[in-house]
Amino acid sequence: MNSNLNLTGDYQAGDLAPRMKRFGLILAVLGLGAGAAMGLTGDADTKTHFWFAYLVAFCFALSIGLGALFFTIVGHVVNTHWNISLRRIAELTMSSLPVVCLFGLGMLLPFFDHDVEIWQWDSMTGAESHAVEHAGEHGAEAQALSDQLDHAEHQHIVSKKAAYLNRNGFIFRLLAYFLIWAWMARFFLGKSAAQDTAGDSIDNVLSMKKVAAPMILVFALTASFASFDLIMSLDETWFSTIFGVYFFAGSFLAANCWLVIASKWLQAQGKMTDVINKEHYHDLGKWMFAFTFFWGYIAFSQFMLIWYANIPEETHFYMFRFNETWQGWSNALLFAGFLFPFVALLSRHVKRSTNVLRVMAFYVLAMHYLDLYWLIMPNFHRGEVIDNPFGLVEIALLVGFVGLFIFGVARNAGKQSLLPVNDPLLGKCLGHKNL
Amino acid sequence: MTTMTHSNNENGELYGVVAEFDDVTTLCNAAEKVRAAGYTKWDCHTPFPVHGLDDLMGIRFTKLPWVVLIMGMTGCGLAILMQWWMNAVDYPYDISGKPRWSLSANVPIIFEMTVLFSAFTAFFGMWIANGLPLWYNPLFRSKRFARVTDDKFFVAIEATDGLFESAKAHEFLSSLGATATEDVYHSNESTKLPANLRGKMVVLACLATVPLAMVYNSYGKTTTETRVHLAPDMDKQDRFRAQGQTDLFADGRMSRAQVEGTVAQGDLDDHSVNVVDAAFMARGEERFNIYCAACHGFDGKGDGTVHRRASELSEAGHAQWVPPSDLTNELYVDQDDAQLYSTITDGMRTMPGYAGQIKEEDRWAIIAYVRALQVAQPFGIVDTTGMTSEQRGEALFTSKTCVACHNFTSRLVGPPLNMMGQEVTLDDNATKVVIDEAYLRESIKDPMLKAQATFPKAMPPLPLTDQELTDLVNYIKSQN
Repeated sequence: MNSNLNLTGDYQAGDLAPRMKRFGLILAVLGLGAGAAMGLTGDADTKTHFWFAYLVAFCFALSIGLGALFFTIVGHVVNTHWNISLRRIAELTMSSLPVVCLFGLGMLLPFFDHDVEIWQWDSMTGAESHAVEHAGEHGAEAQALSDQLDHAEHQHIVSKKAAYLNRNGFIFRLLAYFLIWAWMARFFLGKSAAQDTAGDSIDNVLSMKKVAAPMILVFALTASFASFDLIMSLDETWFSTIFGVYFFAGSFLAANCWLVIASKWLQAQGKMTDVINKEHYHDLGKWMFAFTFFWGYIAFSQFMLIWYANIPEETHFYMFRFNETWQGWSNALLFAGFLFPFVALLSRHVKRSTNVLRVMAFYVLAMHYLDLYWLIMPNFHRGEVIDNPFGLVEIALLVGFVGLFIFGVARNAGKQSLLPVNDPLLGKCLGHKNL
Repeated sequence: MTTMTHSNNENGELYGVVAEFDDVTTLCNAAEKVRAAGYTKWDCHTPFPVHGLDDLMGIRFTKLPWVVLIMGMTGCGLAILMQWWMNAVDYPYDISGKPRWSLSANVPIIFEMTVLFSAFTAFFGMWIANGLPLWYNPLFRSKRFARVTDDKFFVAIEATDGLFESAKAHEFLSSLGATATEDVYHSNESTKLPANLRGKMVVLACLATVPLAMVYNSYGKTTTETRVHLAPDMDKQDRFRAQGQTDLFADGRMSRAQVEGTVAQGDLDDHSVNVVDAAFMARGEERFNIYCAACHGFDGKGDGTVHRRASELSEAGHAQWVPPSDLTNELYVDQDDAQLYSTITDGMRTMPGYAGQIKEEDRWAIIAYVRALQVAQPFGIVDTTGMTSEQRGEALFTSKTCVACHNFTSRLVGPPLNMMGQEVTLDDNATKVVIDEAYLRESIKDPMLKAQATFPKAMPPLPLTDQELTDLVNYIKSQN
């Protein structure tokens, strides 16, 4: 179909893929191994810290895959052409989801270790109710929250949520999200790859477009509820209906950063050099800019309503993060995570200078990690003033999950072209120009 | 085939030469050559945007984004300044205990103003940068040029260009592959406005100021003229009103008494039968504290936080304030439950109706709670022994709720009471009366007999003993 296009570049990753798989595996083994060695051998506090750090690293890798999944689906829904040459990279990125999610199931292990207090709603609603048994040990952790909420009232609120926040439901939902995402990633990559060799038929493209619109809805629901379950439920009495959007905004932002980095790296390896140009980077840069702002917009929407209403069961989320331990991170998130990239990405020249854009992509990805860390880690010690726990365990686990992620991306990379060579919109994509 | 035509030579000055091209490629090559030839006043016209054409023509990237950035920052700064001035300096007001000036609360406005300034600058800046609006372009006088919205591409070189020579331009453009070239002339019509049109426009402009002048003239004034009814059928509908008169019924009233033992449609909830028990009282207390206590105070004595703050503002001259009633006052002890219910439902004086916020049953619960407040805080038991007549009068002034509508400095619901010896106009707008002790006595006993003009006829007669009346009048006199 695209025989009239002059596609002479190198679009095969058969040589790169095994190298990347090996590299990813080594990182994963080293990172997760070192993290476990440091984090799982100590006392209850060390172990709890390990699992919080594990969750941060998992959510980081997960969010990039989810963002790439959305990048792929939304392209089909709106029939866009500019992203066709980037789409296969996004499709490979989203096929990291099964690998990352498999290790994400590790977050179920704290259920079976009574020393570890991650899913505190479980100990409050669980049949065995070992919160009572351990009340003495974990009294200090609960103290800060009890300052805000009467303990009995706290218990009462959590018991009202038990219909949703219970161990079996949590495990079932997590499995459901992971399976749905894995299926979606498999379906869209499979159809897209099949189109490469489908000649003049566009049945594969049509069936992707047909499925894409309802899948947006499925994606929105699963991603939102996954963020409720994995992150929001760490603070069992707190709730924010905008939280799913917040998580999604960060995910899509991260995926666009990753696409810039991955494309630049592939081009440095001599792949895709003639099919991804300044125009495509410019558009990725626009998404980075837009979603930096959108993320800040959503973050502020959440903050302002809670700040105005000033209701204790909502404000404690921010109270925890405005104490001595976390005030610095909160400020960093506002200035370094939002205002600086917003101003830096404002200019057209930054978005079109691909090397500068790559620096910004790494930077914004780091800020995305900061954001997730800020969401998750303050639940460890619950607003108590402590030394900031960030350290080697976090770095080791981040390296581990990045390794898993790279392995997951490279897993399918060699099996088909890096470019959807037979996509009917490819020609339009290659001639794409920004005004 | 290249043709050379001269359209209407009797037209005005030469505008320039326009050349027609068949396709984008030829046009782009031509644009590159025209630029290379050193022309500066020329342009390309195409039926659709051609990517890269501006580069070939040597058009520099617009500076507009920088202007937009600066104006966006201006909007951002102005929004901060504006809110700081309004909220912290000019009109500081306490809203749910938030800081008077707080960036958190200001962000939405800052955001909106930044976007507004940026968007206006981008939109109008684009117009200005392109010299829009352009009412007239001589190119449209060329018949051939009409196809620019269809399938042809054009290059136009203007005669004002330093290098321009008509014959050379024709030759040059033809050599670039133009299918036709053509001289285009300005219209020879005068560019001046017709004299009579100018006169009419001046007259129209003057007339347009008349409505503004009328608005300005009547701004902030009152009038005795009756209003003009543009749609009398709508303003004066033929219908029964609650207080209207009619010949239809023997008693001459429009409103009819309710049939004994019935409830009007939709009013059933107003007549709910409630068991006054602990839960009902607790509900009443809760609703009272939510809805009523802000003004009437938690003890019902009319000393809520809103009242206190508003009194401060009122004393500082910022606002007028009608104080909320003391619900433990005997006036309200004596009031029917039904009347209290009506007040909660529909409001009273400056108090708004709460029908939309408080459910019927809750209104009854509030009344039960108010009754409890009244029993708990018996009113008017003031030990008057040893008091002067003026002091007894002052106690009466409060206990008989005169204070709700009157003070000694300014107009509230009723007239101020510091006007002894002054002449006032009664509500027939004719009779003048000097306020003296006799007038006060008379008006307290029967307020509507000699009511003052411009005030609502709202004061009920007060049942007072002669001694009480004397005390009250003495107190009022002492305040003058």
